[in-house]
Amino acid sequence: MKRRQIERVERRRSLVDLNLLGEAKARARTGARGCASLLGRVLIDAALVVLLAAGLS
Amino acid sequence: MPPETSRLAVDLSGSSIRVLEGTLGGPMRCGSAAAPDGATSGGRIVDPVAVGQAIKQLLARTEITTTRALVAAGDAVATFRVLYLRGVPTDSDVGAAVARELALDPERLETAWQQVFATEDGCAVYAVAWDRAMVNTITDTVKHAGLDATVLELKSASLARTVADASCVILDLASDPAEIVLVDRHMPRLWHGFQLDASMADDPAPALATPLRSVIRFYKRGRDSGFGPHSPVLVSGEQALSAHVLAELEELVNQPVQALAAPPRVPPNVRHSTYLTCLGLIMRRGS
Repeated sequence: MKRRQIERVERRRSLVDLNLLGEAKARARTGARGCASLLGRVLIDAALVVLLAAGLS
Repeated sequence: MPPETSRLAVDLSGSSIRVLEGTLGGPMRCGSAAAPDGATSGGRIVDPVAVGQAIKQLLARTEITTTRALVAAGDAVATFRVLYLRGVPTDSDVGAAVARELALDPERLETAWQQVFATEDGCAVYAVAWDRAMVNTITDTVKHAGLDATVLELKSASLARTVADASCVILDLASDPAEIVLVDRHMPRLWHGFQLDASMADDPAPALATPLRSVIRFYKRGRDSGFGPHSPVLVSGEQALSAHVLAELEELVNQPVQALAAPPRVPPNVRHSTYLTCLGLIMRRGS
């Protein structure tokens, strides 16, 4: 019971948990993911073109 | 619920280096050392090798062996804001609002933000812009100490976690320079650093009231302030101010003034005023 009360008090405390290092790393990862998805899209488009060409011939 | 794991907190926000290892409610080890002469200036590190060596010696003396560290940087290396945005903003909406609010030099500064809570018609965002070179100096310092920094946050964010009051002012006299952090709705809102004059020792209340009044007056000019006449000024220092000084300060700033209480579950052998930033760091929810 007492533990629950303590947890409630602590949960009301500051909501700010920004990690400046984590944010920099996350941004780097997001950038990489963006490139990967662009490359993936190009490959899928190329594959579709090949499949369509194969189907039409 | 799994038991909390021990964490190492390193406070590099001032001219003293402070380290604390442990968990809330569990055993803690802590130690403090002055930074080498000329290695820090106004809350900034200027000699990462010297400060790194000093941290290493302090860790050895304190018998701390943990190598993953949560680190607090002085607010002098950054600027922060809390923005209230309407609707459900996208990342680019928030980015544009942050760029408008914080004067940005992308060559020198980096920004990050966090949506902290939803409001009736939007959300509150905590945004930070920091000097990339200064933050790199801090991470280099930590590496020179043989540590791996997993978290880096501003001291004001750590301090805001140590108080239960939703809105208050923290007056930290244990740091050099002395600092004022205004907290509103559980978020740091303003930071101000000032030098303590040796001559104020005889009559500290008027000397402390001047910067406090400026910060409070400036903050109250803004809209959406939850900081009211009953929001307290919480004083933290190596030596407690006398009841007479607290009463005089209360009269001068026209807000309740009291000593900052230790956060819950801090063992009595830890001087909470000295290690307040470190305690705030280990109170983080995220690693």
